Amino acid sequence: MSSLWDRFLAQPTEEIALRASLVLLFLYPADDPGLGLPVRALTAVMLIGPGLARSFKLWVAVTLALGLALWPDWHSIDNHDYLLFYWALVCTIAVRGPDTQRILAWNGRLLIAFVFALATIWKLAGGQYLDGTFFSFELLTDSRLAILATPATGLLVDQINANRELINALMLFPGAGLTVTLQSAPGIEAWARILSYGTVAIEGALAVAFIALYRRPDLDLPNWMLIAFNLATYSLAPVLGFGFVLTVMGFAQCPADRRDTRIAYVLSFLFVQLAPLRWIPHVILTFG
Amino acid sequence: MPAYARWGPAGLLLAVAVMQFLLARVGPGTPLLSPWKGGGFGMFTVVDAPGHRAVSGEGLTETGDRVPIVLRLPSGGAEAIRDQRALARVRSLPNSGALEDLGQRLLSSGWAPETPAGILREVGIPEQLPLVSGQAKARYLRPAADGPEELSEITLQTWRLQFDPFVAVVSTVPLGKPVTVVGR
Repeated sequence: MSSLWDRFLAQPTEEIALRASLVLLFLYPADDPGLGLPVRALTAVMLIGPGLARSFKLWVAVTLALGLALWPDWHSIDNHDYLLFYWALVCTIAVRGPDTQRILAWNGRLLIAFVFALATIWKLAGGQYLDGTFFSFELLTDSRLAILATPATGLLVDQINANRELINALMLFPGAGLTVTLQSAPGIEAWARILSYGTVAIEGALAVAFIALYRRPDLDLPNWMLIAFNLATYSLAPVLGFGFVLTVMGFAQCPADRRDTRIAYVLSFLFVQLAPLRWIPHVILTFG
Repeated sequence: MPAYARWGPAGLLLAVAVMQFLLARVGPGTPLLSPWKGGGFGMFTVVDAPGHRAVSGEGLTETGDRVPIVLRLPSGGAEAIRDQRALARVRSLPNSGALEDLGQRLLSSGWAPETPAGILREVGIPEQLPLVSGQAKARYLRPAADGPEELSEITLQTWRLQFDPFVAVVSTVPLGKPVTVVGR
């Protein structure tokens, strides 16, 4: 097993990062089926053809297709599709010259820092996060978060599902003057605030940690923070494309001599892909 | 490393994110863009996700009656996908252009009569009927490819959920102004 890892990791980081990026774009291409298909075809060819993972012209084509998919539906497309586009742009720029690995690493670090910095700013300025409004609503209505709500407050999955039904009924008749009162549990509000502050602290710390890497590239902690964040977040909310692109960017900027960290990135990618099976929340709620 | 390689992609991300924040929080006018969409980072931050937005409406029938509509769109087929996309746009950015586009699409559809009980039964939550009886209208129209009714005019309005965490009460509040579309 160890030699398998060693053989895999002996490849240049840029080679693995570019190939992982192609797998990412093959699995999660543009939402628009008209453009998703060409992206899939191009990335498949680039993965199979010798040397094509570094083809500048093919990367331009992939990036253009992703950009064209964003354009007409910019207002309703998922945000990680934007991130996929930016990362494809990074790959395109990177394969153009001899600095491929440096460009991938620099941008991977910077994009991760910006993603978490901007997510933190939104949470601070959005108006419904720090006061617990958003998390209270989610804990009461999203059964994926039962793993957080049930052990801490005693709110049952059945109650969360009943609340979701109330919301669905309310949304079928908007403007009819209806209001619904959700089933709640003691301590929900306080727990929501704790989770809110905790998330802001973690995401803010990730932004600072990845910016700090520019001055202290010897630090390994930011990598492990990102891996832990991916494991925790995407096992609850399986937004696979987002989890995958963060993992690829993290791997791309991880120095080649960090064997364990790079293995952890690869394993976290596999873990995130298994998240839709929801086996972790199931195990915790069953036996916890 | 050239400057465009160093700052280009991150600069683009930042520019889009700033624009998105302004559109979702500042305006122009009432900010209509859902904080969850548009290339920013407001997802999992506020309740106002596109999935927590709903569209109400009223149609003018050929007999001159104004009847409330329920937007349960038929599924299957290219046209249905385009309708779903128009509805998705209205949920993420309900400006007048998006509402007019959806309205024109809906005017070309057939409509079938429906009751609150029938709607709730279809989505699998008939036990919520006591919630809507008394407040919702008794008769609705819903889009149906082979529906017998046609509409000559339709008024659409987008709503978002409002949550009061202190009493755990959820209500709907209007988002922007209603838009009336007349059949061509």
